Amino acid sequence: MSPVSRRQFLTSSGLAAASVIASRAGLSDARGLVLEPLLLAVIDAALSTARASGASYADVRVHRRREENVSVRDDHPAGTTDSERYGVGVRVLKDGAWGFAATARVDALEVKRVTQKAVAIATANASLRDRPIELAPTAAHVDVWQTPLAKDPFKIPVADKLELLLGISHTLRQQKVTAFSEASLSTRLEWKLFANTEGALIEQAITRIGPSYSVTLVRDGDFVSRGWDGQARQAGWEYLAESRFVEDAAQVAEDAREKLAAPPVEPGRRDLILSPENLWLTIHESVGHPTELDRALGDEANFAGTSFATPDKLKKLQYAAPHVTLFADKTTPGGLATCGYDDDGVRTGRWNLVEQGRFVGYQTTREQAGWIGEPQSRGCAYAQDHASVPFQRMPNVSLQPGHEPLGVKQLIEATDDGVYVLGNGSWSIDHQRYNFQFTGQMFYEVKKGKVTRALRDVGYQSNTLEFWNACDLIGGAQEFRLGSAFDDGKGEPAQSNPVSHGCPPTRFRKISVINTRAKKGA
Amino acid sequence: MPLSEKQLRQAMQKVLAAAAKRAPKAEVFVGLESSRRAHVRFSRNGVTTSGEIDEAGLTVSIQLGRQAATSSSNQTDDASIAALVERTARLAQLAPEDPELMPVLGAQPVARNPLAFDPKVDGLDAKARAALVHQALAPGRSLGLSTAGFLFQWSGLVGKASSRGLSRVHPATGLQLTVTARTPSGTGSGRGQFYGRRLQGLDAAAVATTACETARRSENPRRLKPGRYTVVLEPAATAVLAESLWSAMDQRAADEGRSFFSRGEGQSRVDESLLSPLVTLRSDPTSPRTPMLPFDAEGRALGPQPWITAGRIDALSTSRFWAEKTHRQPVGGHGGFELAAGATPRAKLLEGVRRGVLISRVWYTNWVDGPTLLLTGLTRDGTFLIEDGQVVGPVNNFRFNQSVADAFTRCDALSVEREAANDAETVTPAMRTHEFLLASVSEAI
Repeated sequence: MSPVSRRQFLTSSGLAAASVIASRAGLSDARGLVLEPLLLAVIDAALSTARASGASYADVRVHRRREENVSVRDDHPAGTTDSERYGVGVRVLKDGAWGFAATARVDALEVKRVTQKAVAIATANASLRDRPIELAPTAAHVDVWQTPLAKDPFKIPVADKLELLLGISHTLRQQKVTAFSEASLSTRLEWKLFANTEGALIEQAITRIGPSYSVTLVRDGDFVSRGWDGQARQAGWEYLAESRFVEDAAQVAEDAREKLAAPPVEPGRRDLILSPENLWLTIHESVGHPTELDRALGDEANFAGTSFATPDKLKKLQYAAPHVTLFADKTTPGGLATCGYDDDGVRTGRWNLVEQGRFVGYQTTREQAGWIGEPQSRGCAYAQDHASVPFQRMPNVSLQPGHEPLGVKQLIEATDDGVYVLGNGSWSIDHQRYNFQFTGQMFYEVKKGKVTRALRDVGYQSNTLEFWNACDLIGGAQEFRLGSAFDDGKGEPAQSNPVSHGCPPTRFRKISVINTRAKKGA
Repeated sequence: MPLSEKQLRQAMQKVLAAAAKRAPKAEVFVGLESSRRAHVRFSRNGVTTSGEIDEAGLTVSIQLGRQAATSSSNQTDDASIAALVERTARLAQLAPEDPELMPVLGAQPVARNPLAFDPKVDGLDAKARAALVHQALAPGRSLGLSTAGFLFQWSGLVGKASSRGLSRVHPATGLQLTVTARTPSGTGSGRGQFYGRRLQGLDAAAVATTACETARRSENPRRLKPGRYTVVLEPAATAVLAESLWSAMDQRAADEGRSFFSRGEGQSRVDESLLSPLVTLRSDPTSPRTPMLPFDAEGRALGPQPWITAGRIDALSTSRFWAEKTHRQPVGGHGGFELAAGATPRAKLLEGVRRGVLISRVWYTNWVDGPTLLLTGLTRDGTFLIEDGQVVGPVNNFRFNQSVADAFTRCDALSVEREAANDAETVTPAMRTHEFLLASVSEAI
């Protein structure tokens, strides 16, 4: 099932000429209300008020965010929550400065008041800018986009979800030592209606599902945890079957036992074979964030920091080994950041950030494209909800698979002295994205082309450029998998952005491996 | 527009009435916040984004025996309240029994904390915020440094009610100004910050000047090798380590054997002297340094709570369920804490340090090893070499891998002066500690 455009929908359903007024049946049925007079009046109130106030540009987003979380602990439920936020955010550009205001009351009179407030804010701040904000041009799209899905996860009864999670939790606790287990399912819907003074009118409905579980084993004053390697996805309920959510539980339980008994790693420089379920987060931190243009120019200096990948290095810096290409893509099927249009109303696409090892691209919004002389935005504006200001957020950023059909098996066979790392553990990177440290879930020693034993307390520490230039083997497309961050944080006020990163298993040569267990009193 | 106190109380009563009608035997908890939040963000010496938001947050929990569900919404009109109650009741009916479910709380001792709300913060409008940011931009502009920062203002009402008679509404405000300055060379960075609940005490120009001065002092850092060093952590850095330690203080995890605070399975290290005798940590919502709401998320009244006294563990956070199961008093629900001041003036913390490192801030911390409380993170915004009791110049930043328990065990001096961090919910002094592992160099400035 592919996304359907609004024009196609109207034509095929015969609704184009019909005067259809959807009943306002409550927020749960809000999807598809683009034709509702109330919402059209809200849009009109925002845009006409902004125009009348002298704004050079304005946009309005009616936004509904629904989230259901179901969780279990050991043998019982640990909470079922259902939350919903609905409202309108209005952004205006006046006298060259932004003003933003939002409300949870979705009616025309309130939105007129809010728009006037946004205008007043822009006016108050205009003198605090040296130069006016300019937006790169974009087409005025009128369209509908939605997550392709077979089964809406919100329609699956909570009782069924709990039963599924309790079954997994039971499997995880089949241990001979003390065991604690947790399992959860998070389901999120983001519905939004965007319009601007340039004529855009875009409705989007994005469904995301985040399954997870872990088990902790306790023995003799020591404890280890093993979390499932599966990842959140933009998808319907059918994703759970594809992801082996249930089937993997027994293996995760066994892995935990193996981890508890495993010897600690000896620190030193080793070859690393990273599974997609580990490497995605390293891509996120060492490629995704450094290539955000606002960060590179200093807009995040007060919070998340800046970036070593400054514009003077564009098309010059050898970011990675020559066979490495890393691309941004807001159209990746299943990617959490995938959508039809960004929150500037720009149609989404794919482009390279690192091409054959060379740093070639940034993530931009309409405001930012001109900063580096690009004619158009890359479509990276995003706001987490109606009450948040859209700004540059990360698209899905992925590693292009190699040309050879290598899998993890071949990578292990080609490795003389290495460590194979699965899953995500701890992560941290500096505020210019040089020095990073990651751990994982499971670690295996590789000697002379074979996995010899499990290890524990493994971390790897490197520098972004050293790491990516040490990449020498990239798996093929057949083992390309997505990993995901449901809540990637950035900005002030902090906002969360869902984003995915794809890659196959990949090898990096002679990376510093550390033992993460602090010696007592050390 | 944010709800008035009367409107907020009425909305909570409507929820209880709707729930009583829908499920007469149910226990019901209601939480409702109504707020106005505003911000101005700036970078490269100019404003980037600015906004103001009116928002509500309504949470309803319905318990049917041991079946329960919780729903939330930002809509407070009658129809939305009815729909929210219906949805929550339906979810509760479908939920399996939760053996850890506790009854909702009834009436709690009434207490007001006048320090938690300041009408002057509530009254800041777009022009007033712009004026503060103008003051914050001035030092960087005049000194030729690039500044970035964030002004944030919050004011609102927080309400809790239950079918057992709980009924509390309290106003609160919050104000934050943070500024980061960077030198044109790109080799110096500094930060100034203000966190408070009141407008009094905010000097926007002074915050920015602190950032600019640190940026200039930290310019052109020399190379220093990784290793174990005596370090002096400024209050902002101490706060992050103390917050990490505090976040790990959970009674249940300790009793279950999966915590640094475990003493085998089924026992914890409460009452043990684990840390330096200089370390005293406590929460007190009525403290003028950390004024907070006098009740927690469940509506439970909060009073002073000692966590660590002179290095001895007084208590670990204990949920109501775990307290009942283990025959203890519930402990916790606090939003922040104070690390007690020491006896050493801040300027004297460096005395006696033959060779060490002064750390202004730490960043991107994350747990690496639970059993040892090993934390990783990085220094930023001003890292300096100390030799023979004096700062001799800036050095590169570092990644650290350090057990926070060991850092607080080896602490041998805390400053008299303290500063607020983390939305004014944490107050900490500067700290001197030893054998702190600066594991690798970070090139970041």
